[in-house]
This record gives sequence, structure tokens and C-alpha cells, in this order.
Amino acid sequence: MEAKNPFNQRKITRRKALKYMGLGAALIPASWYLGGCSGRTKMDWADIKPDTENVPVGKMTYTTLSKTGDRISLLGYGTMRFPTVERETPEGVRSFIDEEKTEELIDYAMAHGINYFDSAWMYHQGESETVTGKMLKKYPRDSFFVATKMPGSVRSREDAIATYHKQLEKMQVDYFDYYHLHSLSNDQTYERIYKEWGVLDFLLNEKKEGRIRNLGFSFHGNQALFDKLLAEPVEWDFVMIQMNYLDWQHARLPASYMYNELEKKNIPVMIMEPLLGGRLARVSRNVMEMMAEERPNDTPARWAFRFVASHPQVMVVLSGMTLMDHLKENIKTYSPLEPMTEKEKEILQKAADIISTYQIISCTDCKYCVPCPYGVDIPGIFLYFNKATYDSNVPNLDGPRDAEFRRASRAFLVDYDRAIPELEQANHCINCGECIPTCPQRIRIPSELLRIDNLVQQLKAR
Amino acid sequence: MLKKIRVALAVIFGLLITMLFLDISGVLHRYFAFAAKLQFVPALLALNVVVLIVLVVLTLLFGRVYCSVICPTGIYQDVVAFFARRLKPKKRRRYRYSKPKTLLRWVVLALFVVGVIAGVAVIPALLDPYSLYGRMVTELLTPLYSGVNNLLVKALGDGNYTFVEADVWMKSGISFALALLTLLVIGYLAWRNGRTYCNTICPVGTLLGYLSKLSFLKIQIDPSSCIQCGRCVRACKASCIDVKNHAIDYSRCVSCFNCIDTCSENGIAYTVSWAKKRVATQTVSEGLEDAGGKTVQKVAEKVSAQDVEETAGKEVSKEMAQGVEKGGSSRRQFITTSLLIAGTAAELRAQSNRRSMIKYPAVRKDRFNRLKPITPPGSVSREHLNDACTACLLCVAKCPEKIIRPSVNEYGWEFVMQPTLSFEKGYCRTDCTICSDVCPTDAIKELTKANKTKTAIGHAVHIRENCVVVRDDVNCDACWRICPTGAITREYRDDGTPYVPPANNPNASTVNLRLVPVIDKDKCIGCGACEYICAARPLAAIHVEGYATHRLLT
Repeated sequence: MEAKNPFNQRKITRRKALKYMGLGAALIPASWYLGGCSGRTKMDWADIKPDTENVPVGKMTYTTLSKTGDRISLLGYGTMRFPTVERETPEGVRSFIDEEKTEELIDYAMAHGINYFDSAWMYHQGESETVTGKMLKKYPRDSFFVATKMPGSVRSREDAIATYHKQLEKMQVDYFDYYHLHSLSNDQTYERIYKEWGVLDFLLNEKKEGRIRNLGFSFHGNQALFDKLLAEPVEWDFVMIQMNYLDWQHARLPASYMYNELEKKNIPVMIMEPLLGGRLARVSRNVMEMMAEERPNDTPARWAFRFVASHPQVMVVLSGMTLMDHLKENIKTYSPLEPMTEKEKEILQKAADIISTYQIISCTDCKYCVPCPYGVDIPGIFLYFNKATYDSNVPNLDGPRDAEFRRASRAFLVDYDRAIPELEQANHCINCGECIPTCPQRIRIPSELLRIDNLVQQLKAR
Repeated sequence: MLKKIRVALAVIFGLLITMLFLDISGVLHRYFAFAAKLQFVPALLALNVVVLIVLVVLTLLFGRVYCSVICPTGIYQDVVAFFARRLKPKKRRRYRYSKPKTLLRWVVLALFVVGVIAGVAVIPALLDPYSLYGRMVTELLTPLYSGVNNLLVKALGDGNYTFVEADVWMKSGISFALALLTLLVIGYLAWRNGRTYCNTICPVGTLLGYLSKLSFLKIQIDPSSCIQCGRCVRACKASCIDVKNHAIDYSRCVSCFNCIDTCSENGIAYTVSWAKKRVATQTVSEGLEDAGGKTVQKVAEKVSAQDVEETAGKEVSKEMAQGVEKGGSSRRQFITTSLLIAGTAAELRAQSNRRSMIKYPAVRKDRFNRLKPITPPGSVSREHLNDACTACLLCVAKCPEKIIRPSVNEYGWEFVMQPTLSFEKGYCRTDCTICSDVCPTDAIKELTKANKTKTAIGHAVHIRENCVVVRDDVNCDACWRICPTGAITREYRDDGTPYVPPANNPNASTVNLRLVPVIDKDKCIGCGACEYICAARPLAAIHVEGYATHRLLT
């Protein structure tokens, strides 16, 4: 019975962990009293440093899948956000993956037990698959698992098949461990590519031939499409959903719904956007204080990672780690994973309730919308706006024109100019609408840009 | 003591006017603008009678203190001379008496007057010491200042909102070259011989020089004390002390007081002018001085009144000159193209630092070659601007949107470096009147914010073939959206019928429509917002043509 359970290994860890946690929970407040600690009134961002010391080796938590026996690290490496360098090209300065730094990251990850690497045709404008393949070449093929995805931008059956073969070539592998139908978000596209053109049959055949070991999809659509896909007469080996404590209840299609459906069907769940492109790595001060009350040394990122990973149906949590510090902290979080208590989950739901009231834009910086034909730095503007929201730098136009308004106003405008070059700012959006279908988060990009620009212009008025 | 006061005042004024040009925070001009308005030529051209009277009275009382304390080019020469005196080998540090170049001075002054009256603005612009200085600061010092500021910003890192990045750019090749030339020529003359420029070329120096011959207080040598040692001569940067004859050329003396302390015999004093003989006898009765003072004051008043009348007469003829119909401005290619190319290259380098993920990088559009140049709001008409402007570039330096730049031959070569507008870097904000607030010559007249929004300096013109709606077949509403006066409406690209948004949703998306702008000239104020925001490259598909005379819209 125990052996058949795919989550066997983790459940044991979890039980142990609970004991320690109980102890810890008792000890931590005690230590406050003993230490006479009373100065924890104001919590600022800088107060919690990511915990990157003494990263353990060989303590990674793994998931063993019942169907294939694959033993996958619970923390997977997402290859959408590798470090980049800017280089001069005939078309102007462009950014490329910084291969030196990337190799260092991947070697470190492998050495500390990460064995799952998730790429896609679209990432880094095509460069991600090539670099991931190149970096993993030096390791034995059975020491890691690679995933990639069929892009939704293919134009025909032939194009799709050519893309697929090109992917095998780019990643320098004979087979894919996991292959996705990428970013299913709209029924017509799904019907056209996978049914009408027969691309799904082609992929199922590839699976039969052994060049795809597991076939599934990543999902960004509505409930109707989700239900339809699960009802398809296809045996999905996994499904990748966007899940985190904010989207658990507060997304258009709540992650909790998708997760529960998948759990019912016992389909392993892959997690993308556990931090919402970094948005959950920084939270506002009041949320931070709530978290610190319970666990004073944990960063918001660790909270977010523990939340998703504590769901037993989750097989792997993808994180696009750009900096060595991200990687180290995440490895520590998962080596081994300390599952979340019910109390902690409650705290996060309260935090989500607060965060969801912010006027933030649900951009995850996936960059599918760029390049904008007219040069607007769409994700840059949205990320900047969200950051300004968290930093309480978005002035309230309906409020009094007091010192606080003037401070916020100056900070907002100065930081805006620093973050976004003048010619790439929101006022240069011409409302052509080219970006609208590309956004997996379904942000109405031109309207949001207009909203931000209206604020900027009102603040600029003298 | 007198020298210390002079130096202190000069430092204060020099800093005031330099900071007025340099300041990038956009705040100081509110407090410092008076320093430019005190300048002689701007006050003359602005018909600023109060300032003119003040300056004339000041000269009649104290001599050419204007040149020592108020004139920034004078102060610049003193700074150069200060270092020259300390750095040059000992022998060559000495100044010498030289004969006055009276003829040259009068010729240059006459040329200046003719330039003003005949409306060849380039002549006063190249001779006015204040404008010479303004151009040096704007073109040469501002980039340095901004550069240091930017380094500071970098060093301070995030979270600093006190210092903000400044744009380093060259305003125009020709004004840059002339500023550099001014810096080097005047700097060289000052290094060699102190105030050579002031006493041979500067028309203001000539005018005030002859006026100061009548001044109440003067530097005077006591022949009975003088031992002809020549110390005072060697200290005189104006080369005006003829020690053999115990004479001082007051037309050249700038009242710097450097000579007084050098005299070992206390034989030089700054004192009442007619009391010369009494100084010699060293007995000055207080009662007499009092009485004398009154008389001289009366004389001074008379003279100043006369002078004002003269100036006013000049102005009248200038007014008349304004009325004279001028021929169309010649568009002679008279600038050195190499300088222009150098300017553009510098600008391009500054822009090359861009985000890489943009496949079609957002590049600044090229400058539109307008048929009719645009003059700053408040300048009333091209003629008024051309007549009154001395090209000091204060408006160029202060424009927060960086849309004012020195002209090349937009107005013709006679009016080179006078301000003209172009909208690659920004547009004329309806709520901003800074250029009209700071202009010391009244070439750009004061404008209230209410009038600013109604003053049309030009009108937009749409060039259909360049419009992205036509060329790229996409929806674009950039110009319509940004227009601050609602002068732009839209029509269907294909059949020209006006676009009417659905009544229940005036902001309905037009993503699937293809609309082009229509401009209402009776609402357009020529602010250039549409030109700035237009997505078409390399040239905007919508641009502004200037009005020769501005219109006040109702």
C-alpha cells in the first residue's frame, strides 16, 4: 500500500517535519520572551534576507510517480528567466542568455539534487531550448528530466511537426521526458491545431514510439475549456496549472478548482508561476508583518513555495531562477520541504485577501507580448507599476494634495523614468491591439497602459 | 575693502546667473530670473526703463560697476585673469598701460546700434556680453553639470529622489561652435591682458565707459604722493592707468579696485570726482563735499534723463524698423554641415542605450524640416521675436520639455541661434510658461496660463501616406488621444466619413477600425503633442507648421 503511493516518500518527511514544527512553534515565541525582543514594530523589505547559507546537499524532496517510477525533484528549474547579457547586433542591442552564469546555475542545481528542467519554444525568444540542451549535454541522459512544449503559434500541421523535430535537435536529445501542449487558453486554437490539423494524434504517436515519455498540457484558459480537456478521451500524464496562494481563490478560474479536479482524476499536477513572476516575492508591509508574526525568518518567496509544494498532488513546482541567491534559497526551502500547517495556510489566505484588493496588474513578465511593434516596454511598465503599488508610491489622485501626495508623486515619476526609457513608456501605445491575444493572463494591455499613462499625465501637470 | 566687496558681489552675481542657466531641478529660475533681467542689452531690447535707469544711475554714481559685478562675461574674464595671474611666469603676469582703441570701440558700438535698428539680430547677439555668456553656459557648462549630476545619481542609487537624471544633449552645432569660440577667444584675451574684450569690443562697455567719465565716484591718483613705481599699472587689468600723467582712462576703468591696495604711498583712492585737487591737498571739508554731492546728483539726474530719452529714441526707431516689411527669410545653406553631423552623432550615441527585448527599437524620430518655423508661445510673431531676441539661450536652457533649440537658418542667417521649436523630445505643455517667464529681452512676452492654452503658435498637418494606419494597416489613436485641445477628430480611412463613437460607449475600442485624424485649425494651438507621440518613423506623419503671427483662439 505504502509502496504504491506515489507520494510515499514525501508523506513520511512531512510527518517528521510536523513534529519538528510543533517543537519549533513552541520554541520561537519562547525565545522572543527570553531575548526580551520587543523592537519588531516596523518591518521593512530589507529586514528579511534570503537564507542562502549552508545549502544542504542530498536533502532534496522528491516525488516518485507511480506510472513511470520517475523520481523528480519537487523543485523544477524553469528556463524562462535565465540571466541575460546585452549584445550589439546588426538590428541594435539585444539581450541573450548569459551562458556562463547559466551554466554555473545549472551545475549548482544538478549538484544539489534538482533534476527537472522545463523549457519551451517561446522562452527567451527561442534561445532557451538551445541553451538548456547544451548545458545538460554533459550529464548522463538518465540523470535528468527535460520538458518542452508545442507553441500555439504554429501555422500548420507541417509547421508543428517541423517545430517538434527542431526541438529535439535544439535540445540535443532523442526523447522528451515531458511534452506539453503549450498554454492552452482558447478552444478555437486548440480545436484547430490539435484536432483539425491532427497534431495531437501526431504527438500521441510520438509517445507510442517512445520519443515522448509523458504527454500533457499547460493551461491558461477558462473553466469550460478546462473541463473539456479533462473530459477528452486522452490519457493526460500530467497537467500544468498556474497556482499560488493568491490564485488559489482569487483567480478568474481559481487554482483550487483546477487542483481539486486533477486530484479527483489522480493526474499529477505541475505548478507554474508559484510566485507570479516575482510579484509574490515582495509583499506589502502589513502582509509581511502577518508572515513575520508566524515565521520571522522566512521570506515571502519561501512562504509561497511552501504553500504550493504542500499540496500532495503536486509533482513538481517550476521556478525560473535568475540569480544564484534565488536558487540557493529555493534549494534550502525544498531540502527537505517543510509542509505547511493549516494555520500557515490560513495566514496566506488572509494575505491573499489583502493582496487581491491592490490595483495591481496580473503580469508575470513572461514576455509573450514583446516585442511590441511600436516599441512599448509592456511588461516593464506593468512590473514597474506593481512595484510602485507595493512601495506605496502610487499617489492617490482623489486624496488630499499633501506632503505625502507630493512625495509619492515625485517618487512615482522619477522611478518611472528610471525604469522605462522615455520612448518605451505607456504613452507610446497606439492601441493597435497586436498584443491582446498574446497575453496568457488576459490583461487588456492597451487599456491598462492607458490607465497608467493617464495617471502619469495627471501627475506631470503643473 | 572695496575690492573685497566688489569680489563678493561679483561672486554672488556670477553664481546667480550661472545657476539660472545651469539649474536642472526646474525650480531656481523662479527666484533667479531677475539676474538676467538686470542685464543691459536685454533691458534695452525689452524697453525695461526701470532697469535701464538703475544701471545708468549706478554708472553715474560708481563708474562701470555693472562691468565688474553684474555682467557675467566680465566676471568670467576676471576668473580667467585670476588664474592667469597665479599660473603665469612672474614677468608675464604684469599688465601694462595701453592706448585706447577709441575708433574701434565706436565702430563696434555703431555696428551694434545699426544691427539693432536694421533688425540684423545676429550682430547684437554676437556682441552682447550677457548673451555670449548664456550660450557658453548652455552649450558648454550645462552638459558637464548634467554629467556630474548623473554620476551623482548613479552613486546614490535607488530611493534617491533629490537628484534626478538629466538629459545631456547638444542644442545646435552652430551655437555650440560659437560658444566654444567665445570661450576660447575671450578666455585667451583675458589670460593675456585682462579686460581686452570689454575695452575694445563690447558695445555695452563702450557706452557705459563714456558714461562713467561723468561718474560721481572715481579712482584717482594723487600726483603729490605718486612715486611712479608703476605697481598700480601692473595690477590694472583694464590697462587704463597712465601713471606718467597721473591719468586714468575712465572709459576703460571697470571699478575693480585692484589698484588701490597696491599703492605703497596710499596715492590712489576711490573718491568724489571733482575733489581731485582736494585729494591732492589732503584736506577735504565735509561741508563742501555734502554741497558738492547734491550738485553732482542733480547733474547725474539730468544726464540720466537725457540718456533715457536717447535710449527711448533708439527704441522708437526700432519700433519703426519692426513695422518695415521684411523680405521672406532666405534659406541659404550657411551652416557648416560637419558641425551638424557631429551634433547628430552625439545625440545618437546618447540614445543607443536601449532595452534589447524590443525587436523594433523605439528610436527618436528625425527632425521635421518645416516650411514655417515655430516660435515660442508668447513671442507674438516671428518679427517680434527676431527683433528683440539676443540669442542668450536662456529659454533653451530652461525648457523642461527640451523642445526649444537655437535656430540654424529657419529664420534666415541674420537671426541665427534665436529659439525655434521642434518636437522630437517632447511637446509644449499647455500648463507651462517658463520660457516666457524667464526671457529677459521680452522677445518672449509674459503669458498667463489661461492665455497659453488659447495661444496658437501653429497648426498640425497630417501627411496621410506616412500615417501608420495607412502604411501598416493598424488601428492607431495616439494623436487623437494626446491632443490637449480636442482639435483632432477622426474619420474612416477608406471612405472619409466622420467617425462617431457609439452613444452608449464614447470610449469604445476602435481596434478593428481604421481611422485617420482630421485637424480643426480653429482649435489647434500647435503644441506639437501629436507630432511627438506619432508612431511613424523616421518622420512623424503629423507635424506642426508655425504661424508668422500667433493667433489668440476664442
